[in-house]
Amino acid sequence: MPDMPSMESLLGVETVDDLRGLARDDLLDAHARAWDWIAGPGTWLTGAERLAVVREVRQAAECDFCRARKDALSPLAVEGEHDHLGELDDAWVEAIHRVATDSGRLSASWVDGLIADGLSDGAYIEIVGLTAMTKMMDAFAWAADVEPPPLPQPRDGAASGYRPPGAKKSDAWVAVVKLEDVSETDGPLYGATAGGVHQALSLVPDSKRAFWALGEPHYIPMDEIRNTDTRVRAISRAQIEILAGRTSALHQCMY
Amino acid sequence: MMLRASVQDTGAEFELTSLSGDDAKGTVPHQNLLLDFAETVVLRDRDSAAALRPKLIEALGPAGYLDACAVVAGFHGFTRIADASGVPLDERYLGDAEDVKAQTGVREYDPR
Repeated sequence: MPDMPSMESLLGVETVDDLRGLARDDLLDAHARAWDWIAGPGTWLTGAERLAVVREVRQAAECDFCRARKDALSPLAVEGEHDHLGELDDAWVEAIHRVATDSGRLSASWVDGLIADGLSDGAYIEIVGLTAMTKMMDAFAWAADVEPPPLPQPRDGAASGYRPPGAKKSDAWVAVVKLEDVSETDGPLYGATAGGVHQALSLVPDSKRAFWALGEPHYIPMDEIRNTDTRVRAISRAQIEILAGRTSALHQCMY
Repeated sequence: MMLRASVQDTGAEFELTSLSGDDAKGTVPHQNLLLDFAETVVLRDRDSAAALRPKLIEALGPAGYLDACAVVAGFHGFTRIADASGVPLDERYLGDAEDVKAQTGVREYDPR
């Protein structure tokens, strides 16, 4: 294949930071805030643990066991061990690698197994949020053909251990906070939408807020979600939904 | 789920079966480029991405191209939080769910 032009030659950029002036400021600001948030203490994980999760998410792409499972008709048919960095417990590694590499074939029994192995439901949801945010920011850098920023240094401090008093397990695999169960101590949890995927991380309100603060600039503002002809982006809503639909279908996801 | 509504409301056409990888059928500008780019990013196909980028920048402009990058990246995250938490589909989409599954090739995986 002939040499293809790099983004450096196409747009004169090498890093995510170089995209200032080309990409929307709100998108790049959201990335910067997300990395800063990840480096601090969370609800169930310390800053150092959260950055270890980020490193493990990236390591999952190099894991032969994950690759074999992904290629198998059923991931449960493959036995082996993850190629991991050795920084985290086995249940954490399993959670990170599966969510990072084969999220379309997870199940309630798999989540129950992680919890039986000692991973709390709150820690699981915090890890899911971190994994999803890392995949999102790394995918943007890869798509734009630029280098992601170096990982920040972790900030000291203890995890808060906050559990929303209204969290209940009902129709999801983990406890969620439904709109009618939000407590004042949860902080702002829902805006224009409170159903479906917006409840996914609600067991850890800080993670829910941080995820959507990053996610909305990638897609569209939630107060525009019902506007099928919105012009808030440089591409049309139909073009946005084609990209979203194909990406979701390849992830075997209905969202 | 918002694709059908956004296409209809703007007077364009697009067959949901195109999301499963078949040739795109519809009238949304640059639909084939967009479908190919989404697949290229999900599959991390460097050669294909390098070939598509100049075409996308020419078709959409730098800002449009970077917005396309952002959308594909965003759905690397939305899909994961939905699938890892097992939250059911929003009620307003349930009526269309079986139809969309059939047309897009998305299957349900339940090993229980």
